Amino acid sequence: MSETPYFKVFGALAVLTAVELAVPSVLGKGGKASLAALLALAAAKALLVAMYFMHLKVEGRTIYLVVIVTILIVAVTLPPIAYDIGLVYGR
Amino acid sequence: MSSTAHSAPPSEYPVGKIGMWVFLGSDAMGFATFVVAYVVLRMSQTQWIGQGLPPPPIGLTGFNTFLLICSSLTMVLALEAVQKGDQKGLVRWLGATMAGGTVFLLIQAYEWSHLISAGMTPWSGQYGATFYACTGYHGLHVLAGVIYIGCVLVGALRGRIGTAEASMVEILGLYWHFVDLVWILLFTIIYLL
Repeated sequence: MSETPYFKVFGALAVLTAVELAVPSVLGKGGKASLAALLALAAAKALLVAMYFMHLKVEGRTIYLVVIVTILIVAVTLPPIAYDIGLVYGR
Repeated sequence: MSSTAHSAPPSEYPVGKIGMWVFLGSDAMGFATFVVAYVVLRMSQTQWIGQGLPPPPIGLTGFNTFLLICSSLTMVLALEAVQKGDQKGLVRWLGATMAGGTVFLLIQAYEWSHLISAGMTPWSGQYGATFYACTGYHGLHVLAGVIYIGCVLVGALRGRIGTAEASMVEILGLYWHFVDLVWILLFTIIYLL
């Protein structure tokens, strides 16, 4: 595997981090536009790390099965936990 | 019983790699629980950062985020080196990754001491408790990663990790990139939002 994609991914991650740091001052901290932009940037960065550095892009079904099962379990179990936390500790 | 009855079925992946992915899946659930607790509690408050308490420092932590991304790059370069049989490259890039993780921890320790001296402790309400829980839980993962890298680095220095053992470095890399990935999300949720 060539080193080039890794450096390109690294460059993209560095640029996205710089953009992230600029977002609150450009779009204003706490606004809906800022929230949407920051979440999209974080998701893009996480996806780049998973796909290229963790090689998910070239993995087969077995690894994807583990990842998908994890996401499904999190999706099913976290809402009740979130409700419970809000009920007990939220004000 | 034939001798082949006990032999493992041919596998596309090293067992350790699948094991690491399963571990990362369970670990992701732990992180997700912390993040959900943080988000739910934050949304339930009208004023999240208590009176007189400092907000989390964005500039210094932004640099730390960049540092962790750099260490992810050096980790994939270490993998590439071992796959090519470049022993010196493996040692160099693993060393650089370990250094990156160590500096990350030192900066986080400095940040924590700065916040604590400014009056923000784990007992400073839900803001303090969730901040230290999330960043501390992640910090422990970085510490574990630095120790894990150190163990593989010692093996590499002794010449025990060659092309045939490249999967060891790949599995280590999976853990390290996961720690980086989680920090990318934590940095956005805790520091920037």
